[in-house]
Amino acid sequence: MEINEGKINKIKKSEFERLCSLNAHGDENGNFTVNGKRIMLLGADYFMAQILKTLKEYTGPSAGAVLYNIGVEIGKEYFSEHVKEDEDKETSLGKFLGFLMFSGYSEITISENKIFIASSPTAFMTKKLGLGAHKSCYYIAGVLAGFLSKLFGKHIDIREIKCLAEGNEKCEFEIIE
Amino acid sequence: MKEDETFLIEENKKKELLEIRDTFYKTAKFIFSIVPSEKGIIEFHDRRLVLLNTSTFSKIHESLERVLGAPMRKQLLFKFGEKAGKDIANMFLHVSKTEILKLIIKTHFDLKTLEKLKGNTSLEIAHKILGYGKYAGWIGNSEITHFSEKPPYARIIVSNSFESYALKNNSPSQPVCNFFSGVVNGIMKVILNNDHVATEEVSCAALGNEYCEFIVRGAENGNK
Repeated sequence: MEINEGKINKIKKSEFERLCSLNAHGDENGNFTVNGKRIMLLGADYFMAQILKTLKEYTGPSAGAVLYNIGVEIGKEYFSEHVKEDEDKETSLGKFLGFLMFSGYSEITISENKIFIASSPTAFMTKKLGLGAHKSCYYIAGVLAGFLSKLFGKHIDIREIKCLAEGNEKCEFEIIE
Repeated sequence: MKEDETFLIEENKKKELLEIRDTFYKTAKFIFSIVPSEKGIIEFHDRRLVLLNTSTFSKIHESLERVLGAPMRKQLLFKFGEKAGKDIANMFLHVSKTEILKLIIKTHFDLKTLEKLKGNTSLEIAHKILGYGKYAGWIGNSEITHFSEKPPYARIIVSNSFESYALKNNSPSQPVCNFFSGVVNGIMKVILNNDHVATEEVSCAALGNEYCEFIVRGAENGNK
């Protein structure tokens, strides 16, 4: 995957700052809207970390795949709804990473074949709640895979190889084309 | 129903409670900010939070149903909601005098207005949480129309709930706010200090109704 990392990071920062400057929150009718979509604030403990643990109890090891596939759909949907046809790849990707950073997923950096998440909320809460020293970022890996697949017009998978929940400093992912 | 006559909140009291809800909504951004830190982290009381769009919620709902079936999906979302409700209630149970003084400086509201945030009774605490719900994008203007601590009973009217908004296009045949029913249940368990309450959604906006309505009932001697 050939990309200009410097350009992506610059656009990511600028998009993150733009979204923060909106100071958005629920309005008088409870509508909290960013980039034209209604959003809400949720705890990463019960809705990210706990959901994986509970799904595992019912479905076994395929729980991660369930969350990954939801993420893929969301990543593709985001691409279809927000990416402009005349935008270059770095701009689209930079804006998307800026949006994820604004959404509380911390700084995500991307290189030719690796992705790093500085402080994944899922991994952070999995570790904090003692839910197990295992890989936990299936949902966000799927989101990135869905978006990148649409951006590059080919099937791309993202596999987590190191997770903060396992005691690593940050989460590391492999881009599989 | 007998409860509807007995536990109806009087108009004057209701007005006071709605002022608490609205004051909390207006001051919430000074109590904790949804805007992430420069590292892209949203944190409050040592918990990480994320912004999730309603499509994601809808897809999680669909996937859970596909994998686990409708009854289990309903039960799971209720369980997650209950955990969320308990956490939220504990976060906003009381606002201390020191916090109120800090808010006077930050917000320029007067002391009389801000003292409403102390939350002396369970009903007042519940209305603060309704204000938080608006701020966090969960619900629109909502109110508790009936309330009793002993026996535990409440009727709660919720407008524009994110869950009904997210799921209304799925053509549901039953109320869909399973997660939010759990939230209400968790909140009630904390503020009533009673583990034996049950919440049921009796009307849902996703079915075409004007709003969602929840009824909470419980055992009188159900304290922990």
